[in-house]
Amino acid sequence: MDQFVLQVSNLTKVYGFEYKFVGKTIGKRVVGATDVSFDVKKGEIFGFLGPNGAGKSTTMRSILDYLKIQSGVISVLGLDHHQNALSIRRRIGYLPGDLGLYDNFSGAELLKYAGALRPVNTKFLQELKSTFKVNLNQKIKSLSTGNRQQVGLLLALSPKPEFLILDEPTNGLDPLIASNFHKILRNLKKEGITIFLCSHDLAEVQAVCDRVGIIKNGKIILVESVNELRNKSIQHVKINFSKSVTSIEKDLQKLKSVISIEKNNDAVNLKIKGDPNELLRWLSKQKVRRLAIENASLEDIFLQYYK
Amino acid sequence: MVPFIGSIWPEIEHEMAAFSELLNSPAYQAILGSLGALDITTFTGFYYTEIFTWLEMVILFVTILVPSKLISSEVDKKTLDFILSYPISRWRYALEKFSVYLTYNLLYLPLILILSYQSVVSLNVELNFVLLSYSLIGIWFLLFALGALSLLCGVIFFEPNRAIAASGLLILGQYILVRVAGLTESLFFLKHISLFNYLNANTILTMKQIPLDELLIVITFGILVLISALVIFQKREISS
Repeated sequence: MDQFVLQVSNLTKVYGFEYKFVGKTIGKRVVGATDVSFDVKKGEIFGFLGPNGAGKSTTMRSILDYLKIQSGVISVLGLDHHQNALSIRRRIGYLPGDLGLYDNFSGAELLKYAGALRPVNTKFLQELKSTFKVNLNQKIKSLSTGNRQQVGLLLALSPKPEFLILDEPTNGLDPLIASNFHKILRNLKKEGITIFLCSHDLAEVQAVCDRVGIIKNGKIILVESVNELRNKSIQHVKINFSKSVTSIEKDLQKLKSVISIEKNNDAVNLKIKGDPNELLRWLSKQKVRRLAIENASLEDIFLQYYK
Repeated sequence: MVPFIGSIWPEIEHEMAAFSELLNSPAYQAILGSLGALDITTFTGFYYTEIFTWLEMVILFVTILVPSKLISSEVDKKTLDFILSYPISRWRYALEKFSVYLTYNLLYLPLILILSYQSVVSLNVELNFVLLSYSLIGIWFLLFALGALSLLCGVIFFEPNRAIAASGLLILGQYILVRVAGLTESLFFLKHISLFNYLNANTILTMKQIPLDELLIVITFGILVLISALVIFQKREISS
């Protein structure tokens, strides 16, 4: 049986208030999240995606008990997110999207301060220090955005918590450090650590996530494994026939997997969805000169949902 | 400021009788508030008037600006998101920050006492240090109560400029109220709703002790407001 680290059921969050007085509406209600439900299994990396203003921050802040939810249940590490907020925080690591750190502290001082609140895994911290190339003796105010982000990651990861909530973790990082960070995430996953990753970087999601949830207009529109999502995606097939293609259009239209046909002299561009075997069987009876099948990238898939 | 006040006394001692006459004007009395009742022809009266007039300015400056920003500036700089992800309850975090503010203010007491002692020794005059300590303790309790009010503004508004404006309105309003109330008897009742009316140096000097009823009023007010601030901060939402 799957062990869930995070379970969000029917989360609804509405901002502001509306009050009707003598036929007039006073105030304004803005829906942040409606009936949001998903779960994150132990040891998986769950990507949480969505366009700006879709409800990602509302969901994350509700999980962290920064926001009061109107309805729904949030369970983190098997505990109620509100009743056991402190117990939960002992066991999680969080990197805020819009990271704010104390400017007059150095990275080392911040790590010491944070370590007093949540003990640091010293061995793992040394590993992290060798990955992140940031001068911890420099004051935060004198660090670049990328270096601040690295300090933020050190703070979030160094206790090696059971559950990591990371909001745009590679924001401002150079590609090499970002790639090393992805390796760290994969290693943490191997050790059974669960990661909830909110990102706009679709390549990052593709590289590290097991499953993704997409939120749009405050509603979850998809929760799927990255592999399943790829399998379900549209494939582009380009076929060059040895003869003119005028007579084969009707045959192609009969195939269930074919969703669009584009002809150009001896070439046909198809978009197929689902099982390609039917098309392959039909092609085996044709005189094909060249065949190319391309998967749609995850980026294309996500963009369909983003629109 | 303390050594300066002490050092000018020998120069102006002979002129204080005339100056005292001048200060009897109702306008000056209103500005001085309760300190106007002190006899400035004596070193103690002069010293108290100077020291506590300056300290009132310090109280206004510190209480309006510091506690109101303890939490609201963290919201502004987005450090609150980071710190609250650690296992520390919000009310405890706010209380610890407020305690640091109170501890810093506690430093005024020995500092003023040491500098006053230096002045007294060098001028070869007398000053009751016990009463001065009582008066400074009174100031510290005012810093506590007014600071709690300022903190409350900070946790309600969550935005530094608004929080400072609100605490400024409430604290400066009370300061003005106690001065206005001193202008005419018909407005005298207004004094009672201002914290600046309580634990003032003149009362302590006259009674030769800390008035316990006033201490109780200030402490009760401070504790109630502080608890309200902590409860509001614990319960309110922290939006991005």
